[in-house]
Formats: sequence, C-alpha cells, structure tokens
Amino acid sequence: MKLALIGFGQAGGKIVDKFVEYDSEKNTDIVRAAVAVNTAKADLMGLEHIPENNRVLIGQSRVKGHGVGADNELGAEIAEEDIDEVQGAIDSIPVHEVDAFLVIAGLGGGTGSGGSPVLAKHLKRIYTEPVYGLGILPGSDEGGIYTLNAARSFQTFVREVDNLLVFDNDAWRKTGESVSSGYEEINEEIVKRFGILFGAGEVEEGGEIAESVVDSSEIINTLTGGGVSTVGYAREEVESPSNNSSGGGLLSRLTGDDDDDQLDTAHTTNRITSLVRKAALGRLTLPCEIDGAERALLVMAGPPAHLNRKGIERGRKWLEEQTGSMEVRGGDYPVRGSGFVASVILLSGVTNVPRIKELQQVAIEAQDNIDEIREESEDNLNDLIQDDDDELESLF
Amino acid sequence: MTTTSWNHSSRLYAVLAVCLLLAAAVAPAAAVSVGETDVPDSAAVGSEVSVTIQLTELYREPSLEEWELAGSTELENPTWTVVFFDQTGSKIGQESFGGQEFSGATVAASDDIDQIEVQLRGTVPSVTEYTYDPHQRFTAATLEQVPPGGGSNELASEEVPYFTEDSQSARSALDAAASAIENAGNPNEASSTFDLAVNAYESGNFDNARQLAQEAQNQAERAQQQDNRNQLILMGVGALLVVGLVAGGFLYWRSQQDSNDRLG
Ligand SMILES: Nc1nc2c(ncn2[C@@H]2O[C@H](COP(=O)(O)OP(=O)(O)OP(=O)(O)O)[C@@H](O)[C@H]2O)c(=O)[nH]1
Ligand SMILES: [Mg+2]
Repeated sequence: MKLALIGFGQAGGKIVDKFVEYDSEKNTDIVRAAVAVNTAKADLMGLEHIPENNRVLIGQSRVKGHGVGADNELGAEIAEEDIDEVQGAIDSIPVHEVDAFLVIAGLGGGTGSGGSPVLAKHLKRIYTEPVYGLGILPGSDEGGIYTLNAARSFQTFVREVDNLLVFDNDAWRKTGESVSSGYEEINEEIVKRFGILFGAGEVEEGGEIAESVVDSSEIINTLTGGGVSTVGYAREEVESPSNNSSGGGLLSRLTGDDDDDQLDTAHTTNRITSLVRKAALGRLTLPCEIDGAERALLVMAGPPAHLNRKGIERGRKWLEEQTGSMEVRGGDYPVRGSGFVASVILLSGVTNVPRIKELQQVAIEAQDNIDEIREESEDNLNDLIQDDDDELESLF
Repeated sequence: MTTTSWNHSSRLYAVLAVCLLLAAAVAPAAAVSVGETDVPDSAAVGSEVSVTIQLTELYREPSLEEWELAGSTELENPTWTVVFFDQTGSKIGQESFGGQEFSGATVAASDDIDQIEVQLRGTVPSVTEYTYDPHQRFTAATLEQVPPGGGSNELASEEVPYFTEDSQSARSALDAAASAIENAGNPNEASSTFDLAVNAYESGNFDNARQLAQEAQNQAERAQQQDNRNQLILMGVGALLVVGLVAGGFLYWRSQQDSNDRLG
C-alpha cells in the first residue's frame, strides 16, 4: 500500500526518515512521498533521507527555528497559523497515487504533539484518502509534562484521524542505554513492523497475485472504524530458498512454482500458528489486552514455500477466539528469497489499554500539580516582592 | 669483469678515440701507419710469447726520407727481428737485436724500404702490480721513430694483460662474485665483501681474495634468495589479499542480501 508519510516534530521526522531508508533499501515501494515538519531548524537538518524540499520549517516568526520547548499548545497554534506552508509541501505529492496519509509524531513533546492533530484535521478536510496517525507515547520516566502533553494530544489525535496506531516508548525502553542510540534501535523496530504491515498491500511486480495475498483494501478495512490500534510481530529464521542448492529448489525458484509438498507441510503450519501466537501475545507496539479488539488483520510474510493457507487460516481462527472479534482478516505476504518467516498482527479498535488509563491518570495528577505549583509560586513570589507590612509603594 | 667496469672502459675508449680524432685534425700526427699486429690477448707469467707489428707509409708526415726505428719491451730475454719489404712486398733484408731496448734500425727510402715487420719474442715478466679492474698489464712492445735531428715519435705501443695461475684463479672467483652481486641487485653486504676481496687481490693476497670473493658470492646469492622469498611472500600476501577481498565481497554481498531482506 502506498503512503504519504508526514513526520511532525523531531520524533516524527526521524521515524519518517528511517522509513524512507527502509523503503529504498528493501525496495518495498511503500513510501510515495515523505515530508517532515518542525519548528526546530536543527531537527530538520539532522534528517538524511527526506528530500530537502520536503522539510518544512514552521513558526519561524514565533520561535525563530528553535522549537516550542514541549509547549504543545504553542505547537498546535503554530501548526494552525502555518498550515499553508505544510500544505505547500503536500501539494507536490501526487495524492491520487497514494492510498493513505500517515502522520507520525512523538506525543510527549511540543511541536509534533500539538501540530499532528491539527494537520490530521486539515488533511481530512481536504482529501478523501484516509488519514492515519502514528503516535509515539513517552517513556514513563520522562516526566509529568511529557505525560500530560501525550495524554492531551492522544485524545485529540484519535479524534482527528481515521485510526491512531500507537507505539509506546515506555514498553520498549531498555535500561542502561543512551537515549539517542536507544531511539535508533526503537525506530528500527517501529519501521520494521509498520514496513511489513503496509508492505503487505504492495505486491511485488511480476509476482502472481494469489487469492490469499493481503491487499491494501484489507489493511484499510481493518483500520476503518477508527479508534486505537496496536501491532504485534514475531519472526523465525528459515532456510531461504536461495540457500537451497538442491535442483528442485532452484527449479521452483526459476519457475516461481514453489512446491509446498517439498517442505514438511505440518511443520510449516505449526510454525505459522506458533508465530501468530507469539506476535499476538508478545510485546505489542502499544501493550494491551487483545480481548475486545474490534478488528484484526493477520499478515504472514515469508518465502512462498514457507507459507501455507492452512496455517494462516488456523492462525486467523485463533485470533478470532482470542479477540472475540468477528472481523479478523488474514493473508500472506510473499517475500521471495527472504531468510525469515514473520507474522504481523494489526489489532484495531482496542479498548482495554491499561497503559492509556495510567497515562491519563498521571497526566491529571501532573496537571493538578502544575496548577498547584503555579498558584503556590505566585503566592511565594508575591510574598517575596511585597514588604511585610506593605509600607513601600510602587513607582507608578 | 663486471658490466659496470666494461661500461667504464668503453666510455674511456670512446673519449680516447675522440681525442685521437681531434689530434689528427689539429697536429700532423706521425703518419707512419701500424698495419697488421699480432699480440696475445693475455699471457701467463713466465710463458714465451711472440708479438708482430707491421708498419707502412713510412715516409710521410713528417716527410722524412730516412729515420731510425727504436723499440722497447718488458718481455724478458727478448729477441727482436726487423724485416724490410719493398713495394712489391718482397723481403729485402732483416736485422736482429737483443735486449729490452733496441735502436738504430735504419729506414731509408733510398733503400727501397716500403714496409717493415717487427717480430719480437720473449718471456712474460713477473707482475709488478696487480689490479683487478682494469686487468694488470705489461708493455709487450713500444716502437718509436727517431728522426735524424733527434727526438722521437711513438709509433705503436702494445700492452698485454698478464697473470699467474694464482692470480687468475682469484680473478675468476672475483668475476663470479661480481656477476652474482650484479644479479642480486648489488646488495650492500656482498658489495662491501667484494671490495675487500679486490683489495686482497690487488695486494697479491690471492687465497684471501678467493675466500672473500666466494663469501661475497654467497652473500649475494643469499640476498637474492631472500629477495625471491620476499617476492614469493609478497605474492602470497597478494594472493591472500585477493582471496580476502573476494571473500569479503561475498560476505558483503551476503550481508546486503540480508539488509535487502524485508523481513531481515
Ligand atoms: N520512538 C522515538 N521517540 C522519540 C524520538 N525522539 C523523541 N522521542 C519521543 O518524543 C517525545 C518528544 O517529542 P519530540 O518529537 O522530540 O518533540 P518535538 O515534536 O520536536 O517538539 P519540541 O522539541 O518540543 O519542539 C519524547 O516523549 C520522546 O520520548 C525518537 O527518535 N524515536
Ligand atoms: Mg524537538
């Protein structure tokens, strides 16, 4: 499926940058256009793969290219004021070739947190293509203001997009790692999962399209209906057909006729069902109870010889049972020559997400604290400035 | 003899030739020509050798109707025979002399003398000074024209390399060492041993010279082997490098395959 990616803020820009790299390296043809928007000039300059013309600096008159300093209200204001500049970059995108927009932002900061819901709203008003969001939640150790920003942005962002895919930094944080190298790895994980998910709808040229292959409409249908989505992933290394020196393997590779019987069918099936379980029960991009998810999509990716319908069907059924959803789609994503079989599960419309409740709780506390502290410090300031018996008079 | 010394002496000859040509152009040289000469290439000390020198064009430049022929040699117990021929090539007389110097053979046009052949026999003298390069020589014969008014013009001078059995075997060893050293690309150690060998040779210390020459040769050959070995090692290293590059390239290719793997 072809996407127009828009990264808002630093985190959003970096992830889109990684996405572009992945797309060209793996030749997946997902990224039809990539734009980065920021209030901080330095963040835009740090990008490597997004074309310079597609880097939009907004709010120059307000913050002089220095960012909004985690003030997401200011971020939202600036986005609104300068939406035409963002639109200018989007105008260069051949939107008719795009299946959907994906707006990516870290929700804990200022620029992306405030600006991405504004942009989503704007895009939805102008285009008929679906507008999805990918929101990054802050780590719980980042502090009250980030949590508060994220909670408020999350609420708004969900409302403005057709579906909000969520990635929780907190669930992926590793202890004892420098923040920047930590993000580098985290961003790779993000791109890997969403790359496979959206890559599934983009069938290789020349590859015959089997009925069972996932297409863009299945991804879109799973996301339609809105709400919050999370993604699970698991993979296993397999003997790739290109390492298989037997005549049969070579022949089947040449004719494109991968013979399932050659591999142990039962083994293949078992591997698939086990990968489905691992993906669903393992670490999700947003940890949650999968029970109650409204819709789900199972994508089994790998060399065709290692995929089979029976396995995918079993996995799909298992997902239906686990989620209680009647809308579970499943299909395969043939990746010739890969050394892995991977399962990616998109759970859409999840509702049982303790992490969001916790985030909101902490945010409310933070908000109260902030108000309290503000009042308190106002009092304190007055105490400081005013002489005890109010004998002094101000100049004018 | 090393090529270097050959080059050296050939250059010397060239310079000499140019000088002679210049001299011929500027001053009226003795016009008496040296015709056929028969001189040994080299001679062993104590051996009996003979030397023959022909002289023609006897009366030109300076145009003398009559003069005397004188000669000297370092050959021991020499006998000189001066044979006179007329214009038809017929022998018209001869004179004999003993001793390392002779003079007083009268050459006169009026006697119909048109050509002279000087024949000399004698014993090769012992060596006064050994030199390796150029080869030590002795003067086999010098012929001079003595005009009636006195003075003299040198007509011919023949020098012959000479040797003893000992000196010759030392020289062979030196020659062998020199060519080994040159083949090895003049390695330092061998070259300086060779210089010592030459010193020994030139002071007549032939055993020593032979030993040193042999050592120089060994050193040169070892150096060359080392060189060859180094070259082999270099080639081996080169081959390893190529293998490494190929293997590295393959691994890189593999890793690229991996990084191209959408699921990798
Ligand atoms: N996954 C991921 N999260 C990031 C990255 N960089 C920052 N974040 C998260 O994003 C939040 C900060 O948002 P940023 O994108 O840095 O902020 P911004 O949108 O540039 O806004 P300002 O800097 O305040 O102008 C924090 O909660 C971080 O946890 C990144 O490279 N990857
Ligand atoms: Mg920033």
